[in-house]
Amino acid sequence: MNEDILIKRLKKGDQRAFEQVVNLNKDKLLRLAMGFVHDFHQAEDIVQEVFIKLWQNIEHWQEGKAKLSTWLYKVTVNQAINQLRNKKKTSNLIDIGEFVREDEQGNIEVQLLDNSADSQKIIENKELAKILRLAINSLPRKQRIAFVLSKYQNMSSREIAEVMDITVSNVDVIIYRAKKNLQKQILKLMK
Amino acid sequence: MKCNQVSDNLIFYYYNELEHSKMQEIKKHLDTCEKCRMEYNKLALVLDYAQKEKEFKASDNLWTKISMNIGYQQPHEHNNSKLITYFQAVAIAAAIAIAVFLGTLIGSTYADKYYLANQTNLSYDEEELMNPYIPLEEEYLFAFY
Repeated sequence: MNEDILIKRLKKGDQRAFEQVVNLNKDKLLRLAMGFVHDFHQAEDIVQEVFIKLWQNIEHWQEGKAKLSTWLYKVTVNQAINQLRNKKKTSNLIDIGEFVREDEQGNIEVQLLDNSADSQKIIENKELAKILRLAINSLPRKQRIAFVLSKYQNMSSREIAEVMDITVSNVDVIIYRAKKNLQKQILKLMK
Repeated sequence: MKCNQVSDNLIFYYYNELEHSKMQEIKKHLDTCEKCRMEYNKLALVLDYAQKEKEFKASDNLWTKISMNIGYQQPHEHNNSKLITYFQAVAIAAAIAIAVFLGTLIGSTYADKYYLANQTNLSYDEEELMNPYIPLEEEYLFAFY
């Protein structure tokens, strides 16, 4: 469906149109949020908040000013970075969240880790996610955003330029530097 | 190709972003240099995990969670509340205006009827003939108190 029509329906409070927007964009936004937080549940919370923001602010939408997907990407990036900043403030607390899962009925399940291959895999993945998170988040803000948009979203330089409000040539330089720095950081953390 | 040249390009090699000839040279070097290969393997392990993260999909119940969250809230609820206040103010003003208008209309109608009713029973005395409005005004005022 045409984006303008979809937005008009959203403005009228059409929940079916909203559901369509959610279903069309949820996986893309989840991948993007994952690029920053590297935690599925946290990423999904971010995506949820982004869609709720869209619903609450659709009245202010100015037609023709930006593409809906560009707006969604921008808000997801900001939301993810803000959440990381907030998490940094509480990072001294013991993080039990990584091994606690909540199912659809709200039941809490605690993953007990033993020495099995699965548990080793979980630990390994957690470690890798942590290294990735530390390495990506050590990059300067613009490099971080450009890298995630490029590698988690497979966006072209032109699309990244649109989301970041910078020139295409600037994007290429930023991504090049981001990769160089990322390699340095990963190898430092893996020593 | 020397180790430092390879090391400088490992991430671009991983993403297959180098010229074909350079890709081949690095591959050849990695096959023979254990130090560079180990470095590449470490980098690839983390970057492979990043590729895995891209395969994640949102939960099927995400829409349910969102729709529960927005609940009965309409998209422009905030604005609606302002509109309701505005319309309420207009409605109150209109109601007052109508009440004043009806009050004046009814009041004047009854006053006329009262005047006409009294007109028929009037016995003109000398004073009334001299000043016909005085008693009428008194009776008119009296009728409303």
